[in-house]
Amino acid sequence: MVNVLLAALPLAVLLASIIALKWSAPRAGAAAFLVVAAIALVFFESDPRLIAIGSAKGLSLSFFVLSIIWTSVLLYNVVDELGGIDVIGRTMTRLVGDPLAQALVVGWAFSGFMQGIAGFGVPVAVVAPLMVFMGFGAARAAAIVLVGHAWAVSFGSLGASYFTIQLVTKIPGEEIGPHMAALFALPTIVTGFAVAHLQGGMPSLRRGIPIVLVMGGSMALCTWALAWAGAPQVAALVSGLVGCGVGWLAARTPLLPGPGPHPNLPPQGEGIREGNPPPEGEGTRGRSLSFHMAFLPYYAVLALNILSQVPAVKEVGASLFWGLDYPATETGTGYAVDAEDSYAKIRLLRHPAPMILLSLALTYGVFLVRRSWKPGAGLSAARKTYSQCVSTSVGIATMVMMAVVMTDTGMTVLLGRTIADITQTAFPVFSPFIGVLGTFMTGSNTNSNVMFGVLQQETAGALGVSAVTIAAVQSIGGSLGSAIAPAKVLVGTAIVGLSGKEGEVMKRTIPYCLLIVLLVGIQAWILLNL
Amino acid sequence: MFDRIRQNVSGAFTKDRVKQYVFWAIAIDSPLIYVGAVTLDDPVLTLASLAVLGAAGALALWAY
Repeated sequence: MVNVLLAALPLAVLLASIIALKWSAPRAGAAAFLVVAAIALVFFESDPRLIAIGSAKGLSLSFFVLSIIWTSVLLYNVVDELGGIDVIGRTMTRLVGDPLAQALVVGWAFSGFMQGIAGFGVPVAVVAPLMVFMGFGAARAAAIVLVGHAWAVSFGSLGASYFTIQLVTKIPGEEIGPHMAALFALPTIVTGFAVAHLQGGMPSLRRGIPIVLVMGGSMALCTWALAWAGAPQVAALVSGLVGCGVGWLAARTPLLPGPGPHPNLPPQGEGIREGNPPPEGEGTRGRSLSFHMAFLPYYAVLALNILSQVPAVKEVGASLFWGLDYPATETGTGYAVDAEDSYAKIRLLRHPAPMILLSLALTYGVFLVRRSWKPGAGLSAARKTYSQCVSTSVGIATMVMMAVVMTDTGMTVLLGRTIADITQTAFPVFSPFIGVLGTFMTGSNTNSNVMFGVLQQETAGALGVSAVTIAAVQSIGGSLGSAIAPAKVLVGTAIVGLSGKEGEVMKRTIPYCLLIVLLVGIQAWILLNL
Repeated sequence: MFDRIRQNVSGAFTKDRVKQYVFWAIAIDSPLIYVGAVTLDDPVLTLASLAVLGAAGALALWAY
């Protein structure tokens, strides 16, 4: 029993420091890492070499994830520097006029697309102000985007969270990818209904049933098809785009009946009249850029991802990878871990980071030839990326090291067995809430998967239920937790001018988040008990 | 002169700077941990690199 409490202590430290002490993720991660190292040395009979190997594995895993984060944020910043994000946003704003359609196309599908390409708070930072420009009240706009983008987080950021759950659980991508995408269908559609309800209450919810089903169905199907086809890294990106297209078309058909209610009209003096594009002079850096030029880097990422699926390219790419080998380890208590070859393997022709860098190079070439390249854009984007990613990197590295040391010293297995003993058959219902907890604490689905992925897998193993389903549900819970994670809510409130009123936004998002997560848990329970 | 040195030293240890040092310490220490614990299996290098990681963690506790 003492060992169970000790094994839970690093997680308790992480939880308490983030929630009760309101520490940042890097600070809490560092505290938890130091605690886990001390406990492993003193109580789990691990020698310094074992701790060092666990930490090195954690750093290998962090490198895999952080290379995606750094390159995707760099790509976003380059496009932003060239004025492209402005152009993409304005184009979206002009395309739809009905308030419900705006909420669904921009707040649900387009924010999912933004999550697909960048993540890390970017969808909230970019889409929430757009919605305020369109006439939505500030708190409503932030809440719509927070709930609206939550369906896309696991497969977003070019698959960072998805790859993490796959790596920590060692479940092959062919197994967990399509399974997770299929389980995502329900929350994808329900987030659409939540957005409709946030926009205009029950009248909008009722009015939006056909369009939400059509948009959500298309997005869910597209996510599953891409995960099944071995391109999960673009699943959120493409599905978001498909959702935008389908929503834009559907809003022009009887699928969106009658003129909608207008509860999103801003109070006097706040925002502008609904349906109007942002006023001239505000964010017009990309005026001379066409939509397709603004979108060029993302077209390139898509094209390269499709190209990487061609059998001949796959064959060539099979031998082009980088990964470190790790030896087997065993603690003094007899907990053994097998040797690992090419741990956290980076496949040069499949990993998102090299593809993003290649698409950046292509974009640079095209913009240079067309004389549209803004001098200094690359350097400025790189500087921004550095300042944005340093804290995230320290947070991820410390938390991943903590999680791997916990795993390699047997703490995670011990916790998993204890949770299984306590919750028994009801565990699948609770499982996604653990994912939510991880994201709530750290503001990151990726971190949540690192912290709890193996724990969930071990618990599933102890209960004799499918580890693939439980691991998928962990990530889905983590994804949906983005709607209430203080780190993301803070981005939303700061950007729409509601700093200090985070509670107002969270009050709106929490009920939707908890309801959808409960549905995901019930869905998992039914699936595992069929 | 001492004032200038003191200013330079205190300027180098602002929280923002230390945040970056923590990041770079972890980044530079990563290959050393691997080489110490796996490639060479050298206890001294392993302990030294773990100590750097621990120090980076302790600094992160203060700076973040």
